Amino acid sequence: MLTKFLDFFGWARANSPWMVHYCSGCCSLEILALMGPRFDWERYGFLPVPSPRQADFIVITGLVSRKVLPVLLMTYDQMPKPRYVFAIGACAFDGGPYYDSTSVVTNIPEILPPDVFVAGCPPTPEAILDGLLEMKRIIREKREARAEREGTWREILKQELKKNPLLSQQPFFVGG
Amino acid sequence: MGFESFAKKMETYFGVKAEEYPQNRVAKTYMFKIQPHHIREVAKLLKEEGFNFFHTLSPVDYSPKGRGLELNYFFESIEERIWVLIRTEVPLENPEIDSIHDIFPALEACEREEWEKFGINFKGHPRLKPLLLDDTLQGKWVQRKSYIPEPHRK
Amino acid sequence: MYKGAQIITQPVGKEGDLMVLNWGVQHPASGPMRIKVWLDGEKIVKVENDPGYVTRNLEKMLEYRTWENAVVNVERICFIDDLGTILNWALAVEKLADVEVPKNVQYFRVILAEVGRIVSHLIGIGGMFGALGVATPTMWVLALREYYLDFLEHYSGYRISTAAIVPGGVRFEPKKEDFDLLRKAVEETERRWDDYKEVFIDNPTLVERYKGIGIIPKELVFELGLRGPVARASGVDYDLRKRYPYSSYEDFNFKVVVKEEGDAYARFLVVLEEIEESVKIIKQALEGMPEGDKWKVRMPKKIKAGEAYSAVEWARGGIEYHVVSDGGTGAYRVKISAPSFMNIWALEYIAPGHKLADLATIFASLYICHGDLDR
Repeated sequence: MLTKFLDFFGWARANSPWMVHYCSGCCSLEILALMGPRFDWERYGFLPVPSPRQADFIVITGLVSRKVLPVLLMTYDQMPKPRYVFAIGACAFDGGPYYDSTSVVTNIPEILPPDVFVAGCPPTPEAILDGLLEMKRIIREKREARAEREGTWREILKQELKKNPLLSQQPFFVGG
Repeated sequence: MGFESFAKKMETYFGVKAEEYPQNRVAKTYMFKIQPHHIREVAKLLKEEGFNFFHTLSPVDYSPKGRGLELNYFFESIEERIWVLIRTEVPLENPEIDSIHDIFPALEACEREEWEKFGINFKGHPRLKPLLLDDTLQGKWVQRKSYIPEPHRK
Repeated sequence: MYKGAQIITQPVGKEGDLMVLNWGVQHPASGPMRIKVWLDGEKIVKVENDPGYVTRNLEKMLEYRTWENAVVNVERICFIDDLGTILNWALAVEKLADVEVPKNVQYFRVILAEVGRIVSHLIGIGGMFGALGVATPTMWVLALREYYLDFLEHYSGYRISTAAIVPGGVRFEPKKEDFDLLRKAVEETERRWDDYKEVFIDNPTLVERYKGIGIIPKELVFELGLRGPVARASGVDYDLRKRYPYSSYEDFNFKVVVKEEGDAYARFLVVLEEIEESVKIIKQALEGMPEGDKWKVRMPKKIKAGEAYSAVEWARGGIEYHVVSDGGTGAYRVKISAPSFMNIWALEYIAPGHKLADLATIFASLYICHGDLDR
């Protein structure tokens, strides 16, 4: 009976997954198209939410520059558990067309491993929607997020905080 | 006021003749090759003579060709529809030039960007501090030819 | 590979009697950019921009690409209107190599560039409404945008990263179905436009929040070198398409939208009315399309040493390249002078004196794309 009741939470969560309204790169345009009337992700319960505190998953939209990486990790760190990572675009895998750029991080899957990755530069909204449905399945089955087990994001975030002690004293910061 | 008087003044004050610059696809352009220490006077003259619209500051690193850093300033006269290219060259070892951000405020951000990427020291600029690049790249002057991105290093 | 990053300094703190606040990086209206705001109560005292969160250093990367390969990187300056940036690249490289493209290619390039402008302006309007939290107009413009993306997808195979224009021509020969899809998009725009204008122009929420906010005086346009709709909304009649026509723009009949007020509402109106003008240009180009079956001119692999300067009127204003060749298969140096990089500094001048809530609307009305701000 109790397990059945706990299953209810997974079902409920999977039917209204909220995304942190945050974009790190240009693939966010196709997320925007997904919010629009033609693809309309709200029929599946997806919604962008301004605060990471109420979000279920974060989207790495394409490229992550070195300057934005601490922001991405900090946003992820502020999300409540269970939290999931969804990555789209070739840049989020190995840098894509910016493989030789001086300021783009090319090993995102090692730092913050995504649960679902959608390939393309940029991926079409249909492909992203397919990936999001896969994401819903993961949430419903209450699978553990990959970033909780592996990934070097905790160490990198700690390095950043050491460089800037002001941040860790903030009341809103919980620490990974 | 106007290009004619500007060209005449450039010749009398600095001894620089106007050259045609046909490489600009957009409009009729004249090029002036000046000494770097004249830049402030030239900028004041430009503003007086109606070349009030700043377009681009484009440094080119010619050090593999045995030359220094070339600085290209593109200005336009809105009334006359004539462009002017001010070209000067500074040595790569000690790239220094006077800042003209107070004459053309549009240049403040541009000079800041080129300081960050080329290491050109714009004397008198109020905030030469990091703008676009992260702090691992500061001081490496990434746009210079001597900096080679990691995947291309042998 | 990762070696550390820029620290986000001073999250929330006090400086004297002023409150220092970070607007962005993770803010629904800001995009990946941080604006440091000094506040006295709710009044903005000082604003400082901190861009660079999507820096890719494209200028350096382009030195390692061939002339045609560079299209992939050049169009990623900003995805929202990628066609204008590639058009400028093609024009610059053709100027370097002394190549002239046929008239039909020029007309088709005009069509593509205007489609890019419409797509970008629609998103811009969506962003201006999005900053207010008004969802309906945002959805409407996104619905209309899809028709133009259908055309781009059918023509090039991709919705937004088209790579449709290459140095020496256009990538593919346009088919009859492509033009049919474009005609459908234009018809759809005209069918809906009256409804759109009724809802958009006199939208009480928008008028209340945008009128008289963030006024840019005409002198500031010249001082800061502002470009595009931002300059035109302040009474500066500057449009590269009309002023220095390129790619056969002189054949088309359209007017440059200029407003005198210079406030956020004027910038919104300029963007809105430019869509109408773009639709006009597309219709004229579709009608007067010259005959011709040559869609690509052969370009040399290596281009002789020299330099070229090129500028086109992009959706956000003039985008300008200074390309230097040393006789190799790729560029020796490319300087990209982007309109958003010039326009964003107006914020430091106009934001002080407003309330904090107005910062989002002023920022949205400046019509910034972070891609070309950081490059």
